[in-house]
Amino acid sequence: MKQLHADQLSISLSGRQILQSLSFNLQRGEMLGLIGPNGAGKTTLLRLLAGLLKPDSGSISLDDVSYTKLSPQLRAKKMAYLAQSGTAHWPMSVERIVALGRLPHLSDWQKPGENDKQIIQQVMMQTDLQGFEQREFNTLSGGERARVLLARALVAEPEILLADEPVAALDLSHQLEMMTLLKQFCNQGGAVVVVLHDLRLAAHYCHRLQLLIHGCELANGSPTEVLSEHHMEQAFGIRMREGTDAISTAFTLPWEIEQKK
Amino acid sequence: MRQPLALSQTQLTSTLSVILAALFLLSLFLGSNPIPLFQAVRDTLLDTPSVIALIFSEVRLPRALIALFTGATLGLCGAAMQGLLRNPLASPGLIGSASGAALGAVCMLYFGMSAVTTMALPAGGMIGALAATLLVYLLAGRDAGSLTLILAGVAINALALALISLLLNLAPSPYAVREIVLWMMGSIANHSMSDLQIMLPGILLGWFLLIGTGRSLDALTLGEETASTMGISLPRLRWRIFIAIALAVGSAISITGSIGFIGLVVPHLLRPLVNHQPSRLLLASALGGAILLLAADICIRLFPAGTDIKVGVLTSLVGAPFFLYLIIKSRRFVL
Amino acid sequence: MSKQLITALLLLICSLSSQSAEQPVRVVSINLCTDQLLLMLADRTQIASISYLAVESNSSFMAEEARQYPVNHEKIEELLSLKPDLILASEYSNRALIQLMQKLGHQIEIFPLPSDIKGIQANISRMARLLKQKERGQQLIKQMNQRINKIIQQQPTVRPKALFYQPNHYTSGRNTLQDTALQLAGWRNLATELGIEGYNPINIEDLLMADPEQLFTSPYAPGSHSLAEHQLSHPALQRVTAGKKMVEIDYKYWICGGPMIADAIEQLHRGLPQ
Repeated sequence: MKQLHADQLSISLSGRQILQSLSFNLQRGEMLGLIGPNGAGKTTLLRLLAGLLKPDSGSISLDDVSYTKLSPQLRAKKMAYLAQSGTAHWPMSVERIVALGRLPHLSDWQKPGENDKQIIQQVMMQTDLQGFEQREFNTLSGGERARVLLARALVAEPEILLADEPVAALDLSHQLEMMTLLKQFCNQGGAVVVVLHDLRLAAHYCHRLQLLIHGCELANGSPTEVLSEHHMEQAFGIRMREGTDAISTAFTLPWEIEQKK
Repeated sequence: MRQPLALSQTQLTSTLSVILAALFLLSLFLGSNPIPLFQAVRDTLLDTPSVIALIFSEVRLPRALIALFTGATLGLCGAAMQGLLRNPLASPGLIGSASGAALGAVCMLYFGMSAVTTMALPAGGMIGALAATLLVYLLAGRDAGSLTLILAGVAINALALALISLLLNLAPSPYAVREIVLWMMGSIANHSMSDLQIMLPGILLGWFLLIGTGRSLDALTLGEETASTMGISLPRLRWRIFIAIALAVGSAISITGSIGFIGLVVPHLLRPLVNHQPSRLLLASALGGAILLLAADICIRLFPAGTDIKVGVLTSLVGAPFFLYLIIKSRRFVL
Repeated sequence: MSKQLITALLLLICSLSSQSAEQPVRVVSINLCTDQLLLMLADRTQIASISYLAVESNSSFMAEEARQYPVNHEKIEELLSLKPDLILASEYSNRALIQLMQKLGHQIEIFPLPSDIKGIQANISRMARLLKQKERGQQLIKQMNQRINKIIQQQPTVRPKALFYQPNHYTSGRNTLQDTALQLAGWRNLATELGIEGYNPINIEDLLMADPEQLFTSPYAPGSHSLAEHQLSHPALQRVTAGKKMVEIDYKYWICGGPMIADAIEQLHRGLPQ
C-alpha cells in the first residue's frame, strides 16, 4: 500500500508555473531525496506534501485518504515538517521546544503527561541532546539547533518526515550527523522526503532520488540510475566523475563544468 | 546568558494571586473617609441600609473590581497579541485597539445612543477596537517587523485621536470637549456597579476565547509554517485572537477610557519568569495587569485630595520610559 | 420777535430741561442677567437691544418676551450702531468693551451677580431707578417678598438635609443662590455645613457620608450626554436618598439672581418630605 501519493500536481505561484503534472510516491521505510537545480520546484513540492500549499490541479493522498478530506490535526499526527530555517521566536529552553512537538497529540487543555515525557526523553537521547534540556535554544550552535528541531519533529511520533534542506549551513560533521539520524528514522519504519542540494549526501543516504527540473520529473530511481552522466549534464550542466572508495563502494561526484561543445 | 528561573507555574500563580488579593483589599480600605471595612461588608451582605455599606458597595467595590478586570484584560490581551505577532512590542495600546475602542465609545455616548440602550457603549467599544486592530494588521502585513508594526500603530492611533477630538467638539454637550483627557488617559474613578455590569459580558467572553489559544501560541514559537504543519489553523487563530481582544479590550475601555502601557509592560516583565513560554504568560499577565492597575489606582488615591490625576497618567509615566528602554535595547538587534 | 418763534423757543427749553427727567429710550443690555431685569421692568419702547442669550429658553427666564427684541452679541460695532443712551452690563462682561464705550462717552451701569435676596432686591431697585420705573420695581420686590415670606412661614421645625449636585461633582456651598434658596425653602444645605464656599466639587464619599435626604440639580444642557452628565445617574445617589429621584430645577432660575428665585424657592419647598 502506498503511503504518500500525489497525482498530476500542478501549481503556479506569483504568475509562474512551478510544477507541471508532477506525480509522487513514497513507501514506508523509504528515504526519498528531492534533487534538482534552483527553481526546479523541490521546496514547492515538499510544501504541497506538508499541506502548506494547495495545488491548482491534481491530488495528494496519505494512506489512500485524500488531503481534501484529511484534517490538518490528523495529518499533524502522521507527518512532521522540518522547515528550512529553523528559528525559535522566543528564547525558550531546549526541553520546552522539543516538548512542543507533542502538541498534535494533546488537546487544548491537556498538559504533557508521563507518556509524553517519556517519549521526549527517549527522542532526546536518540538525537544526542541529553544534558541540553535547560540550555537556551538561541545560544546553541547550528548543528545543535538542527538536532533540537529534528527532535521536536520526532517527538510527534510521525510516520513521515518532510525535511527541507536540513543540512544547509551546517558544517560537515553535523551534516553527516543529521543525515544519519534521518536514516535511522527510516530504518525504524518511518519514511522521509528530504530536499537536498548536496548530491553526495543524496547519493550516500537516500534509497531513491527524484530529480526535478522546471517543475517536471527528469528521473526517478536509485541514486546510481539518477546520478548518471546524462542526467547531470541535462539538469545541472556539469560532468560527473565515477570512482570507488577505500572499501570499494562506488561513488559519483560532480567534477567539472560541462564544456560547451 | 540568562538562567531560567526555577519558578513553577503554580508558584508563580500563587504569588501573583496573593499580591493581587492584598492590593484589592488595600484598595477597598482607601477613600476620603476612613470607614470600618468589616462593618461595611457585614452591612452589605445583610442588606442593612447604612451609609458605610453604600460607600463600600457602590463606590469602593466597583472601583476595585473595575481596576481588577480592566488591568487583567489589558495584561492578558497584551500577552496574546505579543504571542500571535511574535513581537514583544505588540500591545492593545500600540496596536490601536485601545484608541479604536475609545473612538467607538465616544460615538455612542455623546450622541445619545448609550442612553437608548446601555449595551450600546461596550458595543461601540468592541466595534471600534476590532476595526482599529484589523486596520493596523492590514497596514503592517503578516510578518511585520517591529518598525512597521509601530508605524502602523502610530498611524491608526493618530487617526483615532483626531476623530475623537473632532467628535467631542461636535458633541451637543458643553462638557464634551474637556473630557478628551478621560478618553485618552483613562480613569477608573467615579464609576458604578452598573458600569461594571456593562463591561463584564464582553470581557468574560473575550477571556474565554483567549484561554484556549495558549498551545497555539506556543506552537507559533517555531514559526507560522511549522505551526501550520502541527495542525494549527493560522487564519482561525488570528481571527479568534483579534475578536477576543476586541470583545475584552473594547468593553473595558468603553468604560474606563484608554489606559496605556499595561499590555506592553506586564508581559514583558513576566516573560522571563515563565521561561518565555507564551501559553504560561497568558494567565501570569492577566494577574500582573490587574496588580499593576490596582497599584496605580492606589498610588493616585494617596495624592493629596483635590489633585485630580487620572490613572492613565501614572501608567504612562511608568510605561513610557519603559518603552524607551525597550527601543534602546532592541536597537542592538535588527528590527 | 414773532409769537411763533417765542413759543418754539419755550417748547425747546421745556423739552431740553425735561430731557434730564426723561426715561432712557434706547437701553441696550449686553448681559443675560441685566436682560432679565430689563425685560421685567422696562416699557417696550425703552428696550433697544438685549443679549443673544436672552432668547434661549434653557438659561433665560424671560426667553418668550425676549424674542421680540433685536439681539446683540456684545460686539463694539453693534453697540455703536444701536446708539444707546444706557448700557447695562454685569461684573463679568467684557472689560475692554466697557472701558471703550465709557471713553466714547456712553453711560454704562455694571451690575454684580447677587447671591442672596438682599442682593436681588438691590439690583431690582437700582434697575428700576435707572429706567425711571420706580413703581414697577417696588411692585416686583413686593411680590417676590410676599411669595418668599409665605414659604418662610411654612418652614418645617426639623429641616431635612439636601444638596445640589451638578455634572463634574459640583455643588453649591455658602454664598450661592442655591444655598439661599435651599435655606429659605426649609432645607439644610449640606454643602455649606461641610464648609464648601461658592461653587466647588464634592467627593462622592463625602456626599454619601453626609447622608442627604434629597438631591437637587439644575441641568445646564438638558438632554445632552457626556461622562460628566452620566455621573448624575450613579446608583449610589438614588440609594442614599432612599429611592427618591434627583429633582431638577431649571438652570434659568439660578444663573441670574432675580425675582424668579421665588419660583425656585417654591419648587424647593414642594420637594420637602410630607
